[in-house]
Amino acid sequence: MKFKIEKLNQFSGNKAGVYSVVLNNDEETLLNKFVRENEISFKSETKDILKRLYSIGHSTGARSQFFKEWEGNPGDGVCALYDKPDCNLRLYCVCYGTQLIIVGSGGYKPKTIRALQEDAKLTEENTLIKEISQQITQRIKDKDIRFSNDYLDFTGDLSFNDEDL
Amino acid sequence: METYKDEALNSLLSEITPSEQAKTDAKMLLAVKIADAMQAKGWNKTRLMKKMRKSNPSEITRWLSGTQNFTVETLVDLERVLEIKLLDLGEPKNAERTIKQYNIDILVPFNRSQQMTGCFVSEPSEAYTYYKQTIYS
Repeated sequence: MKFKIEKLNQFSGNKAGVYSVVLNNDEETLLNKFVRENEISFKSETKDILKRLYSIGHSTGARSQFFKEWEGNPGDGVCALYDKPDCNLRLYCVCYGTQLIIVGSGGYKPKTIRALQEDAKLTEENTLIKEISQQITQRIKDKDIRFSNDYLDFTGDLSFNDEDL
Repeated sequence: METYKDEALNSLLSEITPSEQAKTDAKMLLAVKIADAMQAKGWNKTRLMKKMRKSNPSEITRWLSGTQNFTVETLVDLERVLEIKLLDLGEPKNAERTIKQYNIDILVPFNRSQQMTGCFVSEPSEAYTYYKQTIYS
């Protein structure tokens, strides 16, 4: 899989750096894809998610209380932004402390299903973010990706290619 | 750095008014204050649930998620059990303040033989220096 992580300046502030992922040679981030796929059917929910991402970047940081944790493998940081009781959207993220967050994609999760495995689209998005997290973790371990002094940025090689696998 | 257009994202973002954003900020900051107060007391969600006389732990999770639109009743109860301030009910900005003013005159006699730093008295042989002090309360 070829991808790179890109900082979203629209959301990043002095509390957290907000990143998303660009797959292959796409011309959009995964967050843009998420918005595009849901803005018609779930406009207010999608807007609410964007407002919360902005608050995370500028007011609160990515505190664990805002996320449903353990959505991936143990210790990989994969989580989902909590949806409101009357909402049905799930957005997958990877958190690195409270100051760095990578936003992936997600989708509609009906309240009638409990596990994401019951929905093909959510399973696909969850698998994708787990793979991305795994590769980033390896780069961090190899010290090819580091954190900036204020922990609000990733530095180093943020592009991943097939041959890295 | 390469910039992505992200048209759908930026278009929806541009629809968010400062007022809407302020409401979301407030909800999330309230959640942070509650979580910090719980941590300071060493309380988990179950403990807060019992103190607030609630029966469903998921309600506490929702309060902490930053998505809850709290009622004043709930905020007042949270203030009481967590011993924190969540509502700023200080004086209204334009309220009239009563200012009491006291003028105090102090009369201090001294004679010319006394040395006072920064003070020179010639005649008469005895002078009085006034200190005027105004106190507001």
